[in-house]
Amino acid sequence: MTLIIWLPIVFLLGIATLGVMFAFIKVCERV
Amino acid sequence: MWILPLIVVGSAIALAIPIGYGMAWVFDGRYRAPRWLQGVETRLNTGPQDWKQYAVALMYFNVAIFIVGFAILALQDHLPLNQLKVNPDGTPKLDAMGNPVDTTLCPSTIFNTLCSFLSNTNLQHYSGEVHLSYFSQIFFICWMQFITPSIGLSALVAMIRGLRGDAHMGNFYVDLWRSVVYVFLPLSFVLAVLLIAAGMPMTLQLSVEAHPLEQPSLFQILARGPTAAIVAIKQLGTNGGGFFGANSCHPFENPNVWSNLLCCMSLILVPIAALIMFGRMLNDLRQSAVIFGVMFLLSGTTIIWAIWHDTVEPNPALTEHPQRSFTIPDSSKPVDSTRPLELPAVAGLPVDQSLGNLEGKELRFGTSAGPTWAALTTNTSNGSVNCMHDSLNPLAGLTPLTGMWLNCIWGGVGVGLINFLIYLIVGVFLSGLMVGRTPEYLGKKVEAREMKLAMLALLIHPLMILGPTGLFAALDWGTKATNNPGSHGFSEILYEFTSASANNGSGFEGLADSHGFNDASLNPSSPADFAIHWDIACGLVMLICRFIPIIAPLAIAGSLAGKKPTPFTAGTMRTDTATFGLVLLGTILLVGALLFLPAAILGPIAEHWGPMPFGN
Repeated sequence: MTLIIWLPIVFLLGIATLGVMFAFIKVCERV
Repeated sequence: MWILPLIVVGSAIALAIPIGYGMAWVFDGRYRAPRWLQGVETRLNTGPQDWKQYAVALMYFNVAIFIVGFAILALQDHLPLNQLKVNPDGTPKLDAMGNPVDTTLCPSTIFNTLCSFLSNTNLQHYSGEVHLSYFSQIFFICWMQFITPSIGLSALVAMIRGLRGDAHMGNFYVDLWRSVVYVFLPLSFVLAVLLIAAGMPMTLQLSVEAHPLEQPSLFQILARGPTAAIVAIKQLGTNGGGFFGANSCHPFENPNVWSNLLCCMSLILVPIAALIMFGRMLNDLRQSAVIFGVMFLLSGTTIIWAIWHDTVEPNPALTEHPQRSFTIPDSSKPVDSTRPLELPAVAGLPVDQSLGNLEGKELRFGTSAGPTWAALTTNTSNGSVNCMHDSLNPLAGLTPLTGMWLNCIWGGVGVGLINFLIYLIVGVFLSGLMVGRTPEYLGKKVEAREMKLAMLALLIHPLMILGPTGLFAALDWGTKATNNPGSHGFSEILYEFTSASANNGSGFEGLADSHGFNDASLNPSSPADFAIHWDIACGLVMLICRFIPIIAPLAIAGSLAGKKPTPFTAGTMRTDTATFGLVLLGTILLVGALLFLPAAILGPIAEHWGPMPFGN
């Protein structure tokens, strides 16, 4: 895997998934 | 055979009682911090938090440690203490072109490892002594192994405060600090010293070159490192990620019967202590007793089942199956074509099963050590192994799967009891409606909002297991990665996603799911064809199934905390009786286990009945 391409991709994938958890906190607040 | 599990469980329970009382004393803030630590604790205390502020603080902290961990793993080749770049004699290790080896990990391996250790799973799609430098082991692996169980324990403590109706749920940073400094550091120090005394290595020296006695001209490179420090917190924090790839099967990571006993006992020590802490903080140990009874019953059943089916009962595949002929669809030809399949006889092979199934087991520990550890490591969310789970007999292999499917027998540090409390809330709701009483727990009514949140927390687990398992089992991503055909191959795929979702980290490791170094030529074995797919899929499952079952229960606790307590009357359904314990057991088995019955039949149960001709 080309590091310069894939390292940012996997980093952003992880951050995005963790970001979805913030959205889930909002969902739990509204339930 | 049966003495080992009795000693392990008995000693863990005995030690957990004072530790649980101590944990309650710490988290209720009734201790007096040493003067040199008081300043730190004062600065960490950003004030009382409600459930949402607590959850947001928890998530921000996880984002921060994700970023730091990513930097450490991505820059491994440039950081110090990298024994992978050096030969045992101290000379630089060179690749085929004469350049210093590049020990940068593959990006998908970095992603999977990061998600894995962030979520307390410690699923290792790499081999520790081969792919990680001492710096990465100490400053990423070991550090994460202290932080992540502390996060789980903090979430449990916050939930307890909410359940007992406190005005706020505490402060996440203070709870995290207390957990690391006053719980895990002291316990790990004591255990690490005992493990060093047992013969476990603890060194920063390079690998050693050893010459075998049978042919002194040959040599082996024996890896070693700061093992005892990592193994202690690996066991106590229900982490499971070992220093060596073979985990506690490796003689350096588990040198003898004494270290095996210590490590096996410490698997369940803190989860049981957390249960004692729960009752102590509520000032009602009867609540803990009921939960303990249910967990003990389930745990004992899994241990007995695993030992029986792996050690006492012979494998029927080796005793019963004659040669058989089948006709199966032929996918290489036009539709509706078939071809014959001959399965040879395995019955009558000269295999002595009088000592049980010894394949993949460490004989130095005895016959029941492997199944005992397998049951306990999956009752909790530890995931360390002292035998190869892929080698367990089919019905014995059902034990670790069941433990992870239920995900609430002892469970992970903090999160195991949280999962159990979700089942408890569901059980209270169902039984309350059945007998015509208002469902309530600890004097607070359980209503529609709590049930919706509980369902979100409960159902994400089977969704993240069965969905990806079905996808990978239908595609080459899964079928080309399995080590065995048919139902055992399906079990390998099922186990991997079960382990990821339960944040366990063990595996049926015949499965080819590892890449390792980004320079594939440096890996001892070629990267698996679909390693990247496994890395990304398991990473996402681990993250999702770590945080949703933490956030939703925090919201439940926050919701219950804000309700007016209802007075205890003769009509209140009691939750501190043996009858309610049976209700809990039924809820867990019906809601939790039944969801996975079809998958169990396609996997381990079919393998037990097999061989059956499906798959390649």
